[in-house]
Amino acid sequence: MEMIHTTHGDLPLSSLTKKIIEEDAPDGFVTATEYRLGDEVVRRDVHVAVKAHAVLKLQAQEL
Amino acid sequence: MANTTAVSVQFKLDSMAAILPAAIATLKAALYLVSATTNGSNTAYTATGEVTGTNYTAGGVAVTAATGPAVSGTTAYWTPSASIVYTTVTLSVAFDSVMIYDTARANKAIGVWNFGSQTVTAGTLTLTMPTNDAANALLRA
Repeated sequence: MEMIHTTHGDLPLSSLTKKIIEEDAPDGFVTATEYRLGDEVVRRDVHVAVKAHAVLKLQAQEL
Repeated sequence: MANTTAVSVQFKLDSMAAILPAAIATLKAALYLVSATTNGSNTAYTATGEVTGTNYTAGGVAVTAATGPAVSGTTAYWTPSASIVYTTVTLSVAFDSVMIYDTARANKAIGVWNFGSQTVTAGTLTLTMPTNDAANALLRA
């Protein structure tokens, strides 16, 4: 029986409802995995694939 | 042919490499609340607006950066060499940013990156880095 760590301690994975939420945000592609015991979210993992957005600009000034 | 005003790619590389040499082991990544105000004006790590929660230690986690900056064409670039991971944390107040800073240089900030409002419950937050090349690296000049 596969167990998973939650706010209620380790629970059987089979006793939980799993929901995956994906969001394509400007700065990252986010995948959130929620595990619910009834209506309560007892575990939520988040994975962010950070997008290339930050640029360090160095600029030479025209004389 | 024509002459062009530009910052030398060598200068860009040397500037980056001076701060982010290969295998630097003193970088950390701290998370910030949606309600915080962290941006390019931050000169160093600040506890103001930082997340708090179960198994989150103030100051954040270590950043793995095995390789130093590289150059392609006129772009110098750098990316941490591993995902930034916060394990078995509960961060119930929404957060959306990470600051990377250097503990060996008085916690001076490298940068702040946003990724959208999130919460974590008894779980893992994984920030996967983009491909380390001139078009996609986390830090590019």
